[in-house]
Amino acid sequence: MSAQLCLPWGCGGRPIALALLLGAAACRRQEPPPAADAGAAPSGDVQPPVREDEAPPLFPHELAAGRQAVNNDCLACHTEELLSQQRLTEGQWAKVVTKMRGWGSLLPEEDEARLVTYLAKRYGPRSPPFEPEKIDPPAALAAVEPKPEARFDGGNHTRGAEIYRQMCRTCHGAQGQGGLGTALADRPLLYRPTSFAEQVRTGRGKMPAYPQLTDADIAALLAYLRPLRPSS
Amino acid sequence: MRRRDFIGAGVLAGAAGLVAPVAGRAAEKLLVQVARPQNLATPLELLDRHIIPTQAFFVRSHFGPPALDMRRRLRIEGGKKPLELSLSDLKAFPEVTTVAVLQCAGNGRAFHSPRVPGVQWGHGAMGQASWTGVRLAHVLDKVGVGPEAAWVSLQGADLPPKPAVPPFVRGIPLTRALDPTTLIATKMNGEPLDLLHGAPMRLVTPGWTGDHWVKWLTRIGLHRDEPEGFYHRVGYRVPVKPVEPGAAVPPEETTTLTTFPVKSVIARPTEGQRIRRGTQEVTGVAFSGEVPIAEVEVSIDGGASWKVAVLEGRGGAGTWQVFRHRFEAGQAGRYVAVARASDARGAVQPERATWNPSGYLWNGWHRVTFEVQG
Repeated sequence: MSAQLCLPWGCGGRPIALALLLGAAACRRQEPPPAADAGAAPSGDVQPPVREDEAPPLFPHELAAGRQAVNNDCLACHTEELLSQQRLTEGQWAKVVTKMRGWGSLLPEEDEARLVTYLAKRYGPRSPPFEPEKIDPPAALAAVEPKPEARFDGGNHTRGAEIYRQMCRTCHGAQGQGGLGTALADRPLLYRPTSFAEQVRTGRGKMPAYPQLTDADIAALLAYLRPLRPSS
Repeated sequence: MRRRDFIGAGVLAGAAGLVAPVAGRAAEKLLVQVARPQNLATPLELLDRHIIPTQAFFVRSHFGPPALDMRRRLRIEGGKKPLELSLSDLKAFPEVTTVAVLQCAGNGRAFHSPRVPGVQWGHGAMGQASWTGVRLAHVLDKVGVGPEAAWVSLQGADLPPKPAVPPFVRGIPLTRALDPTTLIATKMNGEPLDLLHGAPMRLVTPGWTGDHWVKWLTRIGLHRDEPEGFYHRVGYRVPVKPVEPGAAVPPEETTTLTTFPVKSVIARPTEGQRIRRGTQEVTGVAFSGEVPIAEVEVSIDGGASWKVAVLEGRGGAGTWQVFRHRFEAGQAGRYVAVARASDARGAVQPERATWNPSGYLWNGWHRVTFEVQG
């Protein structure tokens, strides 16, 4: 199973930049860009004239590089609205991206300029206003509250520790405090086992998928993870 | 129960107000500024009432909530003896309830020009609720505050998404911690805090910006000096003196945030709303962080002429009052409603807020264009 050989910093020991050049498709499936991206992308290299009141168009290669960086290196910690609501200049975006690299984004330094170009063109001062989605208040709370599921109860702690050591600890840290991957300890997700299982089995961003994990394996992982409290 | 109250409040406001609130479920929905970590805005139309129902009350956090754990304990360090308190331990202290505005420092950031990075809040990162808990002063008294202590650090259980991200630690001066209005709250609007609003315990500092109202409170520290760390030494700071919009400001010329300035926001009419000829009303809320509101003036001609609005509710520092201004919409056409609050110290809401590099403390006039139908 290639997923087990492919760790977030590269595949088979190759450095991360090479893994990205080869395409993350070698590691896991690529998410197609959202429909809005496809619509915004020029069909060829001939650009439409730029209007003063419009965001500058993105070349296809800029769009592809930008999408890859956003999916892989931004969305582990926050969803895309945090980007799409900004209206920042290239200089402002460069500072934001540098700050986020300091805060644990896995974006390689050599990809920083490409991400900044994408963000500045897509979410620059001339981009149209951000229109937030709406959510029913009960659904907002329900998204983080515990959602027990009997089949994931009573997992074997020892087995969970072993699975965690083999598959998770390298990225998520010995105490679940995060590292290359995000923090797991004391998170609402640990009490929403169906969502947890889905994320583990399908992967997210640079995290590989582990479809082979059974319900008992997931229950064991949760039994191990729930009591973890990283020292801070 | 809360759901019923929530709907009931909307119906009542509709009956009382002449410009009807937006009907149906649309007005109840929160605006998703960020889905993960959840940052959700209260819809503008709800800012026409004394209390915002908990479910519709805005949500702000840097890292998202920790797991729901009502047995989470609060540890107080740096006093004469360390102390750990559970929710039930807090029952030993006298219970206090206060009504206060909670407003995110970045509320209105999207109105600053030039734009600055951060969650691009409109007016929806504010709300008023009743907060029930115990006085922090009583808890600190039990711990024993040493003579050298001058600052109090506050930290919640919300873990940064990665270890490279600084933990969210804010500080308040000891004097603010000992102020009788500063609470360790366990209830909001009469019910135990929910996870999105800080369960099981959060800090309440009426009049001060929301960054001090630390949710999921698990650690309080007593210190001689201001706390270290990004969110106290770099974030949540404003220039000591006003700067040119867009200017870079050296850290040594900034100071940490405290109170929010005088402000009013119009809930109704809503932008672009069409209303009937006849007696109509401009409604909203007004408040100031340091002193009560003195007056709200309302214009329906874009600021050319002003009338004093009626204030409802009990005023106080960090408490909002609903304002109402009735007017005769005699002629069909386009109108621009503007509200301008002033506080008991004479501070007047400015037409444009003072720009600052992080886009905090927006309090510029709120203008709403509406149409009176013929």
